[in-house]
Amino acid sequence: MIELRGVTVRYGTTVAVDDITLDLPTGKIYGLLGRNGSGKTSLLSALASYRRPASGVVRVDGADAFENAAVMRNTCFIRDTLDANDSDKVRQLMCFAGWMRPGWDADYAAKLLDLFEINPAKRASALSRGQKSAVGVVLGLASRAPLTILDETYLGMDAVARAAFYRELLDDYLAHPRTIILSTHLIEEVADLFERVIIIDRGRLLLHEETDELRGRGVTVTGAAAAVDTFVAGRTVLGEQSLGGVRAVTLDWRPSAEDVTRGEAAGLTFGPVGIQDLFIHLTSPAQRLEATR
Amino acid sequence: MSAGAALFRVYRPILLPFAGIVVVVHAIITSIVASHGEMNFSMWLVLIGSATKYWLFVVGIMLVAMQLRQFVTNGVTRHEFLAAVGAFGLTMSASFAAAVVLGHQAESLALEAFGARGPDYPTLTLGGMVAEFGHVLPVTAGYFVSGGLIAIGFYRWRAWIGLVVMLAGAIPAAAADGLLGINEFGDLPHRLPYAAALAISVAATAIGAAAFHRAMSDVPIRRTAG
Repeated sequence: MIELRGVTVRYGTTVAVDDITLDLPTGKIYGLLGRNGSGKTSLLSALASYRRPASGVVRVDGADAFENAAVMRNTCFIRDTLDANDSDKVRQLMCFAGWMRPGWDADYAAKLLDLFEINPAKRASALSRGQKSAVGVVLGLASRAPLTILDETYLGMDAVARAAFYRELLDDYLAHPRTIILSTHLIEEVADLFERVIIIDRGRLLLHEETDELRGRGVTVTGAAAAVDTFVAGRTVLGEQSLGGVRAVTLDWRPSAEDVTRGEAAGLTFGPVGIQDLFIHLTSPAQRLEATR
Repeated sequence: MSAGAALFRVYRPILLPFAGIVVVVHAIITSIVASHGEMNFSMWLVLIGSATKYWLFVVGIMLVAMQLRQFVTNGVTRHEFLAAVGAFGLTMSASFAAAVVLGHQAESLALEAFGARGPDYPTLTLGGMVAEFGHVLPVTAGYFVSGGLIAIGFYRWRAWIGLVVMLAGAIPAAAADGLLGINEFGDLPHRLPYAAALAISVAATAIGAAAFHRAMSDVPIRRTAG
C-alpha cells in the first residue's frame, strides 16, 4: 500500500500540492489527471522522493519513503524531460540502469529500443523530443520497478510510437504486474489502461475512484436532437456533440432502469461517459466549487 | 552494483585518458625544457601538481551537476550517493597525492639519468616524500570539497545565494593551498607550523564536507531542460 498523508509541496510561497491524503493499493495502473500547473509533477516528485514534502509523509508498505534505500531502489520515476546528461549515449543510459536496477531486463530494453527505432549509439543531445520520451519509456518499462511512475512520458512521440508505448505498457504490466502511475493529458488515448483515476486540481485531490465507477458516474445519451434535448432537460451537461440531426450529450447523472427504458422508448441510446468529459467538467472553473463539495 | 562501485566505473573512462594525457604532455614539455639545459625545478609539480587538484575540483562540481541526478533517478538515495562521493573523493585525493609524490621522484631519477637535473632541483628523500604527501593530500581533498560545495550552492539555491555559497565554498581549497601548497621548487610553506596548518586545513575541509552533506541530504532533484 502506498500512503500519502497530508502531503504538501511548496515552492517558496506557492503551494503546488495542498494537504493531499491518498491511499493507493499496489498492483494497479493509476491515471493521474490534472490541468497544467495542478501539481501532478510535484505530487509525483514527492511520491518518488525527488523532493521532500514541506509537510506530510509518503509511506510505502508502512515505511517512510523519503531517503529509504529499499523504497527508492524499487521506485522508477520517469519525467517528461529525460533525466540524462546530454553527453550520455543511449547505450550508457541502459548500461547504468542495468548496474543499479535490480529488476532490469536488458533484453527487453534492447527490444524496446528496436521497437522505437532508437540508435543506442546516439547521445542524448542528438535525440529528438519524441526519441527522448521513447528512451524514458524504455528506462521506465525495462526497470520493472514495483512502483513505476511515468510523468507525461509521451511528449513529442508520434501516434505510432504512442500506440506502441501503450501496447507495451499493458503487455508488460500483465506479464509483470506492478504499480504503475501514468500522468497524462491525452486522457482518451490511455483511459482504457487505467484501473483507477486520480484527479487533482490546484494542488488538491478532487477525485480518486475506480475507472469503472467513474464511467458509471455519468452517461452519454445519443439520438435525435429534439428527443435528446427533451430528455436531458434539467440535468447537468458535461459535454455535447452534434452531427446533422443527431446529438450526443454527456450527463453527470446515473440513470435508473426506468429512465433508460423511457429514453430507449424515445429512440435514445445510452453509453458510458468518457473520462475526458468528466475530467473537463470537474476541473472547469465553473465546476470546481461543486466538485469539491 | 553499489553506488560507490558505480561511481568509480563512471569515472574510469574519464580518469584513464586524463592520466595518460597529462603524463604525455609532461614528458614532451620536460624533454623540450631539459634539452635547453639542466632543470632546477620540478615540471611534474608544475603540471601534475596543478592538474590533479583542479581535476578534483572539477569532478566535485560534476558530481553534483551530473551524477547526483543520474544516481537518484536510478534508485540511489542521496545518502548512498554521498557515501559513494566520500569514498571516491578520499580515494582519488590520496591516489593523486601519491601520484604527485611518486611522479616527482620518478622525474628526479629520470633527469639524473639523462644528466639534466640541475643542482637546485628539489630532490626528495624518503622523509621528504612523506612530507610532500602530507602537504599535497589536504590540498587535493580541499579542492574536491570546494568543487562540490560551489556546485551545490548553485544547484540547490538561486544564483545569488549560489554566489554567496561559492565564496564560502572556496575556503577549503584556499586554506589548504595557502597553508600547505607546494611550489615548483618543492618549497614547503612556512606560514604556520605544519601541525597548525594541517589542523586549520583539515578543519576547513571537514566543515565544508559537513555543509556539503547537509545541503545534499534532502536536495530536490532538478529536471533537465527540454
